[in-house]
Amino acid sequence: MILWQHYVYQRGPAVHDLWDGLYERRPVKLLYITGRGFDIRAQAVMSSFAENIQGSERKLDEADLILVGFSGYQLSEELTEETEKNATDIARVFEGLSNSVTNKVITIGTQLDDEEDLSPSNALRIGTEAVLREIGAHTDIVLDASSLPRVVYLALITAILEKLIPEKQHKDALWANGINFQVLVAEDAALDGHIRAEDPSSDLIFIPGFSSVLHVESVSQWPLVWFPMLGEGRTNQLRQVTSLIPDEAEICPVLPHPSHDPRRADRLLLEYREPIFVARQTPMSNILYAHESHPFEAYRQMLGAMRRYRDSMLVLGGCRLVVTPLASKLITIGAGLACFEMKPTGTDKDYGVAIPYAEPKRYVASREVLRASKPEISALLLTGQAYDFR
Amino acid sequence: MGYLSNPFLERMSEQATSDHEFVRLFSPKIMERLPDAAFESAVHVFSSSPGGGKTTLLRAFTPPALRAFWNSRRLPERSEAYQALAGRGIINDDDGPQLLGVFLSCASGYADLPPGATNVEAGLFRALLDCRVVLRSLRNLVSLLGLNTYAQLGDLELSYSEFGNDLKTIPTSASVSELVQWAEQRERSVYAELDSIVGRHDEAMPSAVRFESVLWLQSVRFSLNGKTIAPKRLLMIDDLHKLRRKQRALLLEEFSEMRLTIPIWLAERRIALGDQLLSQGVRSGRDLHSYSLEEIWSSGKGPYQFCAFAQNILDRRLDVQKVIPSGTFSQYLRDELRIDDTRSEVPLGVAKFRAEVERMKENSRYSEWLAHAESLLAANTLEALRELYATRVLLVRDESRKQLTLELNPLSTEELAERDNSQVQAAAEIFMHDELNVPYYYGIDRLCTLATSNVEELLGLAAALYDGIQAKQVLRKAELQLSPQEQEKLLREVAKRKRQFIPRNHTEGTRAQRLLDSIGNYCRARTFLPNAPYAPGVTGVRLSFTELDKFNERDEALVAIRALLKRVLFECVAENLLVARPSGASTSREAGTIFYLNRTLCVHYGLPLQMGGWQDVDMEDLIEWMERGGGRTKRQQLEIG
Repeated sequence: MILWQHYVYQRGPAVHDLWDGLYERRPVKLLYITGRGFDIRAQAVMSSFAENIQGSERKLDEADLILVGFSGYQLSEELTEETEKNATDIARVFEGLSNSVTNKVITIGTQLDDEEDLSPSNALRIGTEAVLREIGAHTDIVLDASSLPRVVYLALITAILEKLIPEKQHKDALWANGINFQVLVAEDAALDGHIRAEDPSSDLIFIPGFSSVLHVESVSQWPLVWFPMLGEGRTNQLRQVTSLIPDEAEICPVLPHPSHDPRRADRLLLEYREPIFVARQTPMSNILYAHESHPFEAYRQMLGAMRRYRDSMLVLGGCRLVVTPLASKLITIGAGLACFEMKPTGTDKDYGVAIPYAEPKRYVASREVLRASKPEISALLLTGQAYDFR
Repeated sequence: MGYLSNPFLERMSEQATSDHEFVRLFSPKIMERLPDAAFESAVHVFSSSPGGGKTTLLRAFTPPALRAFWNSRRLPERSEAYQALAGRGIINDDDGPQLLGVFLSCASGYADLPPGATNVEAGLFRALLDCRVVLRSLRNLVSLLGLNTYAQLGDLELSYSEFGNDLKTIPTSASVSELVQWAEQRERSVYAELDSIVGRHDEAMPSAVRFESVLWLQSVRFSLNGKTIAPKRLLMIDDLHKLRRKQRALLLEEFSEMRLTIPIWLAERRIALGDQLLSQGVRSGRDLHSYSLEEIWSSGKGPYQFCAFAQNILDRRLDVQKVIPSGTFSQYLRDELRIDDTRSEVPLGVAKFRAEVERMKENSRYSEWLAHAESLLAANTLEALRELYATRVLLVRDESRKQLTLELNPLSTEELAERDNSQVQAAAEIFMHDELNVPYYYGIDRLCTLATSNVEELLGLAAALYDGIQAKQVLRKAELQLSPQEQEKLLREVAKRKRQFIPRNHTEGTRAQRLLDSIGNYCRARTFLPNAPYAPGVTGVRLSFTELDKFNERDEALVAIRALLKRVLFECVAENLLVARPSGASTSREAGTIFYLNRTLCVHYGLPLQMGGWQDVDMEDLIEWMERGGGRTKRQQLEIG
């Protein structure tokens, strides 16, 4: 049995039907978390959400907005201006949702007060904990992953789930005391292809809670299975992570298929041919295919594969499962859910899950292309009333 | 190792290389350059830019590598490495490895430990390092004895010297399995807390008041059936630059203060040295010794030995592949120019010479020299052309001498021969390259020079040349050997990519690139002055101590920009884009620091490869170049004005 045996997932116009049903005739104390970045899709999501709430003449009881900002990235002046404009526009739209609105910015990557240097993983952990502390008596938590770097939205999704679901084995685990946790994603494949992420950092970053199995000395001899989730233009980042992967590791590349572009997987195979298939002699039979636009399908594929490898390799003493998220958002979220469910509790387990990544230091995109984006919104409801089977 | 189409792309320091391959590829020449003091009981810090060979050096002393050396000791191609190790008592012919080398990396999460109050943070760091040293020591002991698991160490006996009485945290009464359990449980308890985002209890994590594991390692005795195992110890900690600043400082300070009976090797990238990189002297103390791998290769006989070391590495890599016939790498790099290579360039050069000395024909002072030149003109060979270029330089030098002479007799050819020297000849060569495109960057010796004492750079250059050789193989060319033109074309591409990559790899990459371009332009302008005053050429700039002291001045208007320049300079030096060398005082100038361009970058800027010529610049010049580019000093701009 898996956590999201039954799930709630809508795309496009159906998302509004989901919101209509979710917010109808009940008090709502909302915590809305989004990125303070240059990606205009965050505005598209916010506008769509606000339009739905205000369109049905609802007012939320309370609405708290958290804008997650980032330091340490190199952006052009154009993108920096776009970031400021987005933040202002999002806050303005959000104000219309309730008569009781708060607005807070949490920046990830700031230096500590005593000028101690902060590792990227620590910065991410501190930022994630700061967001978690904002979760109070909210009935609804919405996380918009559209304009968040993948390490941030993965960290937030897994951390919020860990807070809401302390016991994964419980039969009503997803009820989570009735708190509705929703992840929104505005996908625009054309725009994704246009935004170039460059200069992967030489310091690898680990999603908080998913690092120990690669650091702990006592498990360093366990067999390792690596699931690189392939996406366009990220071979440099893959190469950074490869330094952690021993020669004898089992490698299962994850390709997006089915995809809106039927040749996408072929192109990715060519792009990653040298570092994965030639240098590491990875057999083609190891390839996993995950639905590009269906995160819960990707979740099932990944979870199933990780469980099978774990069960097979336990006879060798233990197993380390490493996932590197280089693919598009929906698949990445699916993988994040699988990693959350797979993560063992306690110190005595004989397997573990790690999510290392090489975060780019520079993003390059054109303002005109950003503004011309017409994304499609997807909504994943991960916990709450929809999972009340009591 | 996984298959790599280009054997020069494999990085031996990475886990991906098996011990067998590591031993095959390891060049023992580095051991000849290691000072004997490095094996004495003290803290030894090895630093280099990325790819300098630190991790490879440390890996050679780990038990799996030592066993691989011992197992292959009868093979002729391994005997040099084996003899080097046996000579230091690290391996015994009958009993095998005698040294327990304990290798850890600081890249395993220490910097991710939660920041907090100083003593709490330090206590956790020490506790984590301690249990890992113990675990890794015992694991390496398993490898040393050729076993597979800890369980097979059941008969191993542990005893302690008097140092063991001081141990408070590490249990000395424990058996091997109990020690393993203690260390594993301690480490896992740390990470169980760290992996918990919700409800973490930092106070539940272990803490230590000192690095006990060093005391443990030097006091514990291992014996099996009454026989002492691994009497020698070596603790090696790599990637020190991955630690937080406070962690690094704590480790260095506390290790240096210990009463050590074993050597400790620490390895780090030069970027961890911070501002010290720009100051002078070796930061050594009684129990702390610093070694820069680049300086090991560049001081004394180092450059010649680096060439031998480099060739050894290249030949071993070539032996690993089967695409082209193995042998020496140098056999594939033609290191002389043939007549066909310069058939069109020689007449062009001759014509240029004629044109440039036309104005001197009227001056009887140069009649003998010009007559000698006529004989060379007729020869129409490359050697003759080089002589002509040398003559041209000497003519211009004499012409530009300010001191008038009453000498009416023409300058003799003996005078010409006297003034000619290797530096003028070298200048002639680079001038021919610049004006006529006569190949200059070719041959094994120049390839080794281009590496700028960095192994990774050497391999990057060789990888490009190997691709060229492979391409000739695929195209069924009669001769696989690369001509000088082919070598230069490939090396120029590597140099171009290196320069293009700078903004991507550095925090202030765009400024660094601009600064380096300006230095390159400036050096070109000084090198190619017609009289070649700094023959064979200028490849660096110098800041005197007075200029360097400006970094410490508190001029509010300039402090920010000077700090930025310092950061850019320091990153360039740390990444081996600039090579810092001390410059001693003389009667006409004070001491300072010379910043030479990386030799591969010299290819991009068309500069000679000898390390020697430099020019003094001001801090203001460097700031101007960093911010706006160019390559002209303020003085030059004023002169033009």
